[in-house]
Amino acid sequence: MNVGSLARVVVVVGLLAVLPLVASSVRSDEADSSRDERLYYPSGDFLRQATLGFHAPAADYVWLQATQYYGGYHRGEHDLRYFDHLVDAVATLDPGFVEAYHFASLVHCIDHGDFDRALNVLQRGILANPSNWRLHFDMGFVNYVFKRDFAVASQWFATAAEMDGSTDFCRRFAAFASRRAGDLEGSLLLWDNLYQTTDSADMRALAEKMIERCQETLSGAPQDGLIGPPAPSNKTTKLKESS
Amino acid sequence: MMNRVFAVAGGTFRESVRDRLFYLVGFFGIILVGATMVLSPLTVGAQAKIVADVGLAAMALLGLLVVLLVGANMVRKEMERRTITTILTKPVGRGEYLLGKYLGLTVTLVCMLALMGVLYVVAVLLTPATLAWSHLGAIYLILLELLVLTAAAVLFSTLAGPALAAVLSLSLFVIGHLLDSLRDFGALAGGVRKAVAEVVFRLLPNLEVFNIRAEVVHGDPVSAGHLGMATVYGVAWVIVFLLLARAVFARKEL
Amino acid sequence: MRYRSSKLVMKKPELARNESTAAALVVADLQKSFRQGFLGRRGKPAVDGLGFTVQRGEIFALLGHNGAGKTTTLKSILGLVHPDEGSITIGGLDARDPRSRAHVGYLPESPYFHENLTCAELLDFYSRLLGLDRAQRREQRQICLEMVDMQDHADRRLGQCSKGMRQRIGLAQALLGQPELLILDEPQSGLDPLGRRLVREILLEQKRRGTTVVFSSHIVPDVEMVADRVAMIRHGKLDEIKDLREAATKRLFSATVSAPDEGSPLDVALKNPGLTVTHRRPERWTVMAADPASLAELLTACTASGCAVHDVQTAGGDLESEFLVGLETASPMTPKVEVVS
Repeated sequence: MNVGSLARVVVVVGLLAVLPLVASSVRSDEADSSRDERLYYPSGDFLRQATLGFHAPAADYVWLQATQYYGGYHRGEHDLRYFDHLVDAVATLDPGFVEAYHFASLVHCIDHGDFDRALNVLQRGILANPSNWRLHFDMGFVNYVFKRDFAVASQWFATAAEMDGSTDFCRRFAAFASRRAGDLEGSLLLWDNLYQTTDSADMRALAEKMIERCQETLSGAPQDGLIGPPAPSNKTTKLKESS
Repeated sequence: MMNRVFAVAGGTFRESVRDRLFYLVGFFGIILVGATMVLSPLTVGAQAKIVADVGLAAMALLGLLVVLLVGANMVRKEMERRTITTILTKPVGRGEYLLGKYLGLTVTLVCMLALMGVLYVVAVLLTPATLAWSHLGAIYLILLELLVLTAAAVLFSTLAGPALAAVLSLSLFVIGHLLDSLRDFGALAGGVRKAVAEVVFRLLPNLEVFNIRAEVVHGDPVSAGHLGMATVYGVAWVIVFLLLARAVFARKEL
Repeated sequence: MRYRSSKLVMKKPELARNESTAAALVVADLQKSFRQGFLGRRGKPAVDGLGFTVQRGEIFALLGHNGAGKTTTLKSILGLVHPDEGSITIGGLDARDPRSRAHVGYLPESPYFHENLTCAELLDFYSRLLGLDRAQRREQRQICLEMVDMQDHADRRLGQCSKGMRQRIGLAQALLGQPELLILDEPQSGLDPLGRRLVREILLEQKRRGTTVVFSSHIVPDVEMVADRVAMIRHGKLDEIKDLREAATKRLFSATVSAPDEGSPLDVALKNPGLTVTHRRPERWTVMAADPASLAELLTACTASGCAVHDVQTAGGDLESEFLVGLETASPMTPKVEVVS
């Protein structure tokens, strides 16, 4: 290799080594830059037009942004002020993106402590996906675990249980919630329904046991302990202080 | 007549193969692998949806790339290189020539989408998703949309140079996906703007007719009626564009 | 590289023919201007009132300077450009009818073909456009490759072929299907001497087979060597049509001889009206002979006088002089020869 060629190789290798460093020094630190980006993030309505029929993969991209944003929050890099905006963009781009409503509801419950906001997100999802059992189940879940409104939870679980694609645990939760709400007759019906229709031997055994307990309670026999998911504690998770 | 058309079509297909256009299928495979392996850990439960979305979108975009780079340049390239003169001085009508070029690119797109479709099916089967016939319906409609755009690109190729023809084809793609919104905006604005929007809506192909990708990924069924109507719609637009191209090309000085 | 007449028997494909006219090609009052500029205004005419008739079986040349309108004329014949006025018939059929081109072979100037095709594939493609079946296509491919001496390169990709090879393959595709009319635009352009000779031989062979050949050129010797008649075109107009078969007997020669003694046989011979002394130097004279007979008389006289003949050349003949003079002045018919004493 002659001197000229060697010089060219050195220049190219040197530039390739130096350029990434230059790029990273030009950009501000990651947390600030990502916060700046989300400040200017387009709305879902605009993105839906701008993506020219590719709104579903665009929703996937924004979804990845949202999950990474949430991850950054848990690493203490920033707060969640733009989380709603990102979720709104995902839901506008792809109203059928069930996972987004589910995740957003959990974030509102756990990180914001705002259960009503969680229910609003889920209701938006149900409007767009009325036959999706998962969202109905999530409604029941938020009511059961966080709002402790067992009667309402039971109704949502029962609705989810009637939908195509739902699994046995929807009916199980409906039955438990009904019992917690004090509706023993309703609970008994739900357990009986589960007993009759489930394919799982374990679930049938559980249903049989719960039917006995409901019948005992209805007949006035003393209870020696509840079977079912424990009632949630009264503590709610506080929003993490931003660093 | 059809023998001559098929001769031109066969020549066009052979050029596409020898121009290594099918390497794009390999590129599609890389995209799918990336979506499956790299993005999956980040999807938080939406892996199946993302793989399917990325697969269908990549098929549509790579097909669009073929239309813009090959279709928009198809006729003009032959005019500039004068390869067209030795063809049209045989007993081949100009309409037969255009039809042959279009069919050749159609066969190319069908083969590419078929290969990409196989890779897509494998990728989806590797996810928790259920593969339904509607996925094939989505791929079929992607092909229809590309065929409409190809016919338009052939028309633009007879009117303008390759860069302008590609820009016009891309513009048609953009407007075709925004027609519903344009009409809605026109209705809101009222008056002359509403009338203009209505005219534009009727005079250009609505490419959203061919877009069922989001529904398919969510498992919604696709009716045979919808596929049938979309086929009729697409074929009608192909005929319109090719007839216009023939009218322009008949007067072209070579 | 020599032209070889193919040993294969070429069967003519079953194509419709119109034999009602003796003329292979008739061009009448051809007019064509191209649109120029952004507004597409019509420019100066590229072809202005051109008309000629080509008889079956002859070799007819269009001779003109660059931009004279030769290519525009050929393209008008083939329907590649649309004349503003005039009529063109090929074998009695209107040239606008694609069927008129069923028996026409065309070679454009500096042909370009798809580089990824092999020579054989290219000929097969064009054969299919002629409507030949598989057996006919195979036969035609073999025949035409042999005609242009490319049979050893049948599987070579065109992108790997030299300019001369591409020109030959272009000629081969023009010869497919044994056309009745061959139209060639500058067929010898850019070829080396061997290639040019091959093209000449192919054209003469085609004439022997009864094919009508029309070709354009701006190189006079190429025209003189093969053409029967030549149409001289200048700035889109037809100057005249010259019959070279007659003009062959009137070729000019230039000879450089030793200066004769007074009264010698050479001195006497130089009084022949067919001989003109154009340059006298003390030791050598340059003499123009108007025809082969006069040249023969000059050479005989030199031998008889004991004068040396230093050089004999053709002087371009009437055609080149006429062609050049026609370009320079308004009086193109008489060749100008300057006598210097």
